[in-house]
Amino acid sequence: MALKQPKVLEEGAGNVRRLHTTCYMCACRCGIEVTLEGDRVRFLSGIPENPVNKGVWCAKGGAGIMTEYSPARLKTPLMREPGAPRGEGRLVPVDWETALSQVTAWLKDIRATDPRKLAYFTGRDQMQAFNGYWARQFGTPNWAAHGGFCSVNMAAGGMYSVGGSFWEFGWPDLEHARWFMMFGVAEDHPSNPLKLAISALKERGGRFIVVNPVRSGYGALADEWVPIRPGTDGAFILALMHVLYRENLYDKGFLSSWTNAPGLVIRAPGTPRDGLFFRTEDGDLWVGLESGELVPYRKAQGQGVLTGQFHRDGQTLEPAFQALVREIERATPAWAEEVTGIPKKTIVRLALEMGRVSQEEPLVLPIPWDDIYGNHHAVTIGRPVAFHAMRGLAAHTNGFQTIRGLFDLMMMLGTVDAPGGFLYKSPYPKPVPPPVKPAPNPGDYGPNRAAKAPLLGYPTSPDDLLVDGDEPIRIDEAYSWKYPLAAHGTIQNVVANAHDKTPYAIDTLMIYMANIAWNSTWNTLTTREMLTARDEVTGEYKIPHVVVFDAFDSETVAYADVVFPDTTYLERWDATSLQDRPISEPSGPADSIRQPVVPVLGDVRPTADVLIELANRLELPGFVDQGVPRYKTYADFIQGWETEPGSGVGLLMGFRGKRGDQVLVGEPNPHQLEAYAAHKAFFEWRLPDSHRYYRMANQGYLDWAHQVKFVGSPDPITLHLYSEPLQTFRLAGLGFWPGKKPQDPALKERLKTYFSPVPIWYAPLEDRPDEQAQYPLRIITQRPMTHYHSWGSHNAWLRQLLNENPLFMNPKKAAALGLQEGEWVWIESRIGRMTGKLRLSDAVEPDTVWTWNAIAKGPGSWALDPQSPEVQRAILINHIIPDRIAGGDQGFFNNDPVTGQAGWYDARVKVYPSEIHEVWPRVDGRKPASPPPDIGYFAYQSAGPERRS
Amino acid sequence: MQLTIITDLNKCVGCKSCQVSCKEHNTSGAFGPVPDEHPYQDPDGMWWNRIVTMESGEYPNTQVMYLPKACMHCYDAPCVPVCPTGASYKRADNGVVLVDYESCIGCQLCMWACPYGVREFDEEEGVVKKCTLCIDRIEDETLPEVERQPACVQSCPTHARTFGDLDDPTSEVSKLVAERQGFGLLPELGARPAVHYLPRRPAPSPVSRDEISALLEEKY
Amino acid sequence: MKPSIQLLALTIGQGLAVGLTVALAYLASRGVLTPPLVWTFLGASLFTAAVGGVASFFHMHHFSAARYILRRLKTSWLSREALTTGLFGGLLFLLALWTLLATPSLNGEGYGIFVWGVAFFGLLALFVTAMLYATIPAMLSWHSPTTVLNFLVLGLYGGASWAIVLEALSHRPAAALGTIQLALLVLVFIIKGLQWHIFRLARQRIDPATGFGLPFAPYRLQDTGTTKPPYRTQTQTQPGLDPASRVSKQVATILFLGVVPVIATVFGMHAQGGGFSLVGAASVTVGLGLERWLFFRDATHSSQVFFNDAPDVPSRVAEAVNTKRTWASGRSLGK
Repeated sequence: MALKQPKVLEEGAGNVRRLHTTCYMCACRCGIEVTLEGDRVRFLSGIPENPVNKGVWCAKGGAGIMTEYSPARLKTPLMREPGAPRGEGRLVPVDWETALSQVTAWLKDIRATDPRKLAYFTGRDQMQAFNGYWARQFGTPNWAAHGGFCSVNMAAGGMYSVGGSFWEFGWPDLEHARWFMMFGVAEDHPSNPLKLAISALKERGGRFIVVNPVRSGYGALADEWVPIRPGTDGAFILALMHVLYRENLYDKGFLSSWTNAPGLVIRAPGTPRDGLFFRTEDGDLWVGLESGELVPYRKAQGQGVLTGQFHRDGQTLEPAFQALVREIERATPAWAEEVTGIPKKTIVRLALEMGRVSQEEPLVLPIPWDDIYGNHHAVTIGRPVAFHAMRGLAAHTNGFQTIRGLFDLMMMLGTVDAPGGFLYKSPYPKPVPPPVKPAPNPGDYGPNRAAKAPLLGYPTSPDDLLVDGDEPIRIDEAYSWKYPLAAHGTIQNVVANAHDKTPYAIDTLMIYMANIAWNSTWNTLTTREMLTARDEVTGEYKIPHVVVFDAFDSETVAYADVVFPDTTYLERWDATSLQDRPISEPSGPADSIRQPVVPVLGDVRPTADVLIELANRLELPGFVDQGVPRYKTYADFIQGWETEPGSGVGLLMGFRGKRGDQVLVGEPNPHQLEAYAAHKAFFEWRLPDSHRYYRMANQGYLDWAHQVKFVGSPDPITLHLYSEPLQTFRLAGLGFWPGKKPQDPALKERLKTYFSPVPIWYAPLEDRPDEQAQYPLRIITQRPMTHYHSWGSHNAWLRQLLNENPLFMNPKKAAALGLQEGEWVWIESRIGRMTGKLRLSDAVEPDTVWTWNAIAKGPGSWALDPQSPEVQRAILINHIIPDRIAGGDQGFFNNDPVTGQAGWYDARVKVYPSEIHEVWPRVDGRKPASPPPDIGYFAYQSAGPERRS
Repeated sequence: MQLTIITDLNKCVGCKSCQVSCKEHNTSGAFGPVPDEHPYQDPDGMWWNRIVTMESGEYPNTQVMYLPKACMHCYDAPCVPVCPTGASYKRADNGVVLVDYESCIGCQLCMWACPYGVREFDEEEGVVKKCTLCIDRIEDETLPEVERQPACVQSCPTHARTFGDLDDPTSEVSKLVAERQGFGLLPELGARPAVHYLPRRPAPSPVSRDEISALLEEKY
Repeated sequence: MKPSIQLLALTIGQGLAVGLTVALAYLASRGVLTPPLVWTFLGASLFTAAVGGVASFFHMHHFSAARYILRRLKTSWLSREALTTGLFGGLLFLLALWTLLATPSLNGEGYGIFVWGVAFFGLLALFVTAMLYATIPAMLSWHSPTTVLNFLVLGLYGGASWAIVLEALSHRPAAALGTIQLALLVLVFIIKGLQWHIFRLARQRIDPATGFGLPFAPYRLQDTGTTKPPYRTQTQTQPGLDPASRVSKQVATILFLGVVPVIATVFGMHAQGGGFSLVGAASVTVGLGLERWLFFRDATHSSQVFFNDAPDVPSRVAEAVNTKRTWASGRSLGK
């Protein structure tokens, strides 16, 4: 176990300095070196030693300079002008004390009466561990980040299958893979790491298959493009498994040894035990052997069979794998061709390719390891077939089950934590699902006390839901019968529910860097109306207080009553933490910090510092001990906070202990941040080779992971090919579950239909016959690499790369619809219509139309001229993405019925010629916090304009 | 010696990292600024490196390609002889084509002469600007080694770009061009560009069509 | 590409000045010069030459570097143009000075030789200017000897057309200038036809196979490097004309350059005074403007393969694709 010690760079001559920090232009968190000329940024570049980006940087990263010096930056706290209506941006500068005491007063009142009346939701923030802790200590259940609108299906689908998932939690091993299939992910998630990985694959001549309705970005490099209808990937995956099963190209040893596939499931339809595992007294699974004998899973040592039927205690038992077999036997390639539009010939061929490469051409690495059964393996066997997916699978109302399907496919191929396949990133794997649960009872959230448990987690049965009968406890209805496994919350439900006072009214909505009034919402125009809606009787706003934390003058800022101006990422202390969404690599855990590298511009403060100030004023437990604040700033918190008092585990894992010489676990170190700053702002721990693979079953690794508190025990982590937790919800839907169960038939029906313990495919909820006939096309977006996750898409350099977006359509479809290149068209969904300009492209599947995401801007926001192309020529399809499910039942949002993930890739439209030849609809202009500067020649020089004299 | 950049089109994903890192370095560099006309209105900036996106072929056999395009530092650079003042010149020692802003009259004839459209006009200074191959980086001995290459090469997230001496047959760029059938753009115009591109290297399906047809016939 | 006023003024002005000087030399050879005639010619030549000179000066953007302009006579046609056009202008000025101060015998041998000398340098300047355009391989439409012939013949034709007017104004008998003009007109049309054909071939040379190395048709640009291609400052990448616009401008060129002057000449034969010839010359001048505008506007630069596939519109991302262009590219490559 070698600690990798990056060397300290000497400071350059003169007034040129180099400092190290972590990028925040998107969510990848690359290590960056900031070269300063005096106090101004001269150059941003990648840190070669950093495990995330290994020295490279992307367009956004380089353009960070223009985000730092953006004219859209908020410079002082703002409050809505007395008497001015919300939404018009009529905000007046106030001093910090005024803003802080106002918000403290609101919060104090809420906390003393009903803490649920605070809803705190954040965007792509990178301090969720802190924010979640803050909200928990406040006592509200109503906190989450933006995962519900982003990719909770991917996270939950993975956590409920393998105790890890893609991106921060796991990763395709393209250093070893020979065959790589990518679903969706055209240009994003994540940025530089995926580019590096694809480059490694291409360098070695690996075969690259991309499954996507659109060919662009990474997909451009694919050796084969498999155009697919959006929302049908689940059917494709099941058909692949169908062929693998029939051709006997799957890894029985892997399934029997490391997954619950051989676990015996009770077959007793109509009883409370149906579909549950037959368990030993200490909770282990029973499995059957060839001999017909039943033994506990641990004892079977991977000899459990995958077929047959067994009887014990009068019960019929069968291996869990058989439930999957029944599902995939129905999924013939011919059926999948009808659903997906992919020829069955292609499906069969791709299944053969992945099956053969993984089963017949295994990779053998000379790395010995010891498994959980006490067996020593002299070598490590790899299955060089890797997959990657993100929102292309996730952002559908069938996304959770589709992603479950992908993980089951990987289990069948034996590519989970095997070289060349999917590899976990520390601290994953965690038990399936990770053993964290929010407190489930209404009484767990009360006045003037902290919530009993972390606010987000992974329910394993209906008893874990946050419901009071059928009523949700959370404002966003996460963990309710409607969206039971909402592991990231459901930010997209918040504004509508707060407006409708469903399940109850709230008092204050706090929003941190989430643009809920524009591109981080759906049915945008209605959402904006909800933010300004007033009670008919009192005339007060239905959402009485809106507090916005942001660094930039976004569309949402106009709707705030109080605005706290944030710093940029180059101006503050910050941490990327293993307690959050880590930057680890498969080779071992890693974390990093941000440090102030440039002087703060304006009278702004880091949001975390402001929250700590509020916590101190509110005397929140955990922040204030007997009237004495523990932390003044977030930097104090980063260095001082522990998961439990005395746990030795805090936000950062490096340089722990009083002397800074302890790793992963150790006492808080008051000089930890300085130590990081001196070590290029990151810390990486390399796992020894023998701990790098099969970590769910690698005893050496598990013992170590337990020691460093990644897992609560060194027990093996059995992968869930079959998900018993899902079955418990199905039982609740059927009325058999002994604990909590819903009464409303609609809720019961959803649990019955969608909580299959093995992956299923059903058409996205938007695809009812009516909608299919009336709205024949699916509309999706792609995130341009230059803008994705970049809340600086107003950035002076990036906006030159893309500032308007047409609607792309296949030329054959256009011909069939009688549409011409360059024509203005109506794009109509069932909730409204908008115009767009047509651009033909042969790189899109005929039943799909698409455009770039989040290019359009509202007039008056982002310090852009209202005549800017983003305002005048760019289109925002969020306007017409339905927020409620089709069919008139307005009680349900257009979310995945399992996780509550917004199904924004499900939207259906029809396209026809428009008589309006400009962008429509338009929103009213607002008063900008600061007007666009009138710059005629160039945007920035580090030495300032005077340099040119 | 002929310095050059080789771009592997088998790896370029069109992320525009090189386009921005170029501006990032150069706008504050020795040859800057790289202007942005009305950066917060309807912007129209100068870029010394532009990534062109092109699609070709009919659905579903569509190819999508990204082409980073900056100065080709041609052996027979057509922009050099047309310049009346000698402002446009090719360095004898390393083959880099540069513009001396002092003696440039801004006639823009070199922009016409360049087959690739990579020279851009700075209206404010009245001179023509373009990629310098980051000559102010590669010759600055105070910089750390990793920075003594063009910014676009250093930043490239897929390592698609390689910098080196094309006249040295043992250099990496020469080997890449030789082994991977590197090609220059618009060869018919005779500029003999030093910048080369490496073509796509498709990895075909290991399963034969016949086998699949037989299998489908039999089982699916 | 995008035509600039300066270049239109420069090339047309220079052409007319040279044409008029040649006509003056011709008339000197015929021994028909009178002081008023010489002065009208010299005045007109000096005026047009000055138009060209001023235009060329303001075509520069960084004046302090102008002192280096003759540095690259060895390689640069622009450097040579500065020299030859300067010489021509200077000699023309000297001629005027001589005519004014020394009052030489206008129909004497010395004067004739000098005028021819000036005309020779004029033709040389015209040739050099034309070579500047013709020697750019990247300007696919111009890289041809027709560019040189076109400049020379149109210069002479324009000069002859105005010479007729000046001659008429000074009430001198026609010295076969009409015949010469008609002969030149025939040449003009032969060369224009040839040149427009070459322009058409040039458009077809835009080829993604050599531009990108990816030879599949159709091809379509989805992004030209940034959303907004650099047309504002890169004049050569401006998209070509759409076919209808091109044809209409070509027809107008033919009308003004040829048809109207011929009709004017025919009528002028039977009429007194210079009215008709003035109409003819004015029409020729308009025709020259159109012709020169088309020469620039319709020229195809090799880099168009990277910047636009759309006709006559700045190809923002959302703008239309030229199906014809993609078709042409596809055809040239086969499928």
